[in-house]
Amino acid sequence: MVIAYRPETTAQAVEYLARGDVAIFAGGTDIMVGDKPVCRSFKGEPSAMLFIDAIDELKTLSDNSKTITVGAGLSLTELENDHRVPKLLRDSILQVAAPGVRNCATMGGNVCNASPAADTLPILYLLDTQVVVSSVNGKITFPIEQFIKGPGITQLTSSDLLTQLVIPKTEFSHTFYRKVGTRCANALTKVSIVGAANIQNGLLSDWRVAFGAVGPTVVRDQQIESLLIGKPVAWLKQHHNIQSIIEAYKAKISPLSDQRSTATYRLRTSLKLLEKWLTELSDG
Amino acid sequence: MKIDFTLNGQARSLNVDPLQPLLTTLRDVIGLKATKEGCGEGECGACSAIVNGKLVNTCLFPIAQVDGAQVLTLEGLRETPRGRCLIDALLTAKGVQCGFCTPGMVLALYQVLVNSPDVTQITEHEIRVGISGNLCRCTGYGMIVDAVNIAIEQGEGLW
Ligand SMILES: Cc1cc2nc3c(=O)[nH]c(=O)nc-3n(C[C@H](O)[C@H](O)[C@H](O)COP(=O)(O)OP(=O)(O)OC[C@H]3O[C@@H](n4cnc5c(N)ncnc54)[C@H](O)[C@@H]3O)c2cc1C
Ligand code: FES
Ligand code: FES
Repeated sequence: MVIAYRPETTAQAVEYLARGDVAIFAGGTDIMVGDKPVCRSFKGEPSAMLFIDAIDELKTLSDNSKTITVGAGLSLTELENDHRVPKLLRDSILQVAAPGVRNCATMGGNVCNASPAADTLPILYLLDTQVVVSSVNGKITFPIEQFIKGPGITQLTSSDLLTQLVIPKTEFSHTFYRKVGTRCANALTKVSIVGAANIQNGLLSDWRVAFGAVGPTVVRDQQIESLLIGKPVAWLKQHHNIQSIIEAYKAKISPLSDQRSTATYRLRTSLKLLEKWLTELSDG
Repeated sequence: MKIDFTLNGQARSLNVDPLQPLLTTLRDVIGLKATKEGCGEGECGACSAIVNGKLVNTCLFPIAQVDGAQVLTLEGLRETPRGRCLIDALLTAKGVQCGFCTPGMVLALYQVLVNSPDVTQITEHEIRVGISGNLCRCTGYGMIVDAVNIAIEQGEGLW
């Protein structure tokens, strides 16, 4: 039988982690799937489990004029109901599983599980999210694209706790989000795409796109984005210009085939959705 | 690990493995069998129960997190006027066939009703989202959705 710790403060939690051989349990909706509980972020079987559900500090949400700070222990349901949370993030959360799972699943768990199919990740990449990690040695902040190193692999060491996500507040005039799954509820993503842009005086002053489930981690490429930023919207009226953007992403997307979908389907569908988003933008 | 909690209004104290799913505790340790095991991995909702006012999949919910909590299963809900009203409505709507999904379905429908600030305004979409984690292989869902409206009509003042 594993030892269970269920502290009420972050300070106590990181003390337990510092002892070593302790795995973190948030909502358990990834850990509890399968014959026996497995933590992707913990190698082997831990002798103790740290339940973080009783830590109120991890369940706070605050904002100022520039950023919104989301506690890692907030459930997806709590975020879906809070209008301070960016709408794109709420839209993606509504596509995760079903209410019973969302009531338990936490924001931190979705990030730390680092699944290529995690639905909040493309949005967090798109919004330039910073990840705050605490341990007995203090706090470190990572940009999300550095925090996630590969499927199931993050910067977390065994003594680290993800405590917060800091999301810059950005207004967009145009957004786009699609998740492709086999059915409306409880279906893991085959492909997802999120786009956001600002059109001011006929110019694309901002343009971003991120793809989920088409590679080991989210695909976002700021170099390709910079090709579009500053261009007049009319530039997108020329089909060969849209094609050149699609070709650039084609070189960056390397999906796998698995039980949910094939590589060919994923590549084709993600590029078709990109084309749809660019065409929508060209219409203003 | 010693766990103290309230199950259907009654205080309980148990000594169990902290990672034991609440579903196992309910069915195999306590012997309450309304809560069903379908998939065992969060996909079907047959194991739904309400913990501290929230619908959860008990196959994924570790007993360690039940310490200090209030748990409601169908055995508790059916003893209340609201529970009886909803079960009657589901029977009137013919929303029960083999019955395997029913205990979880009743709890999911109950959450739709009690979480609504004004039940007369509940939309079909809201009902369908509320039961989107509960699979039913028999009814085709239409009759289950109807049950909510019947419960609102028949249970005037209850909701
Ligand atoms: C039926 C079903 C459907 C699902 N559908 C979807 C879906 O559509 N889209 C989707 O994205 N996901 C889906 N999931 C996966 C899961 O619900 C999410 O990934 C969820 O956000 C995980 O959060 P959790 O709190 O339950 O994590 P847990 O299971 O508690 O933890 C996951 C991992 O993260 C680590 N961890 C958790 N919190 C922290 C922290 N604060 N610091 C450090 N490490 C931490 C844990 O040690 C563990 O390794 C589904 C799951 C189920 C069962
Ligand atoms: S048995 Fe729990 S969701 Fe299927
Ligand atoms: S009545 Fe048979 S599964 Fe729903």
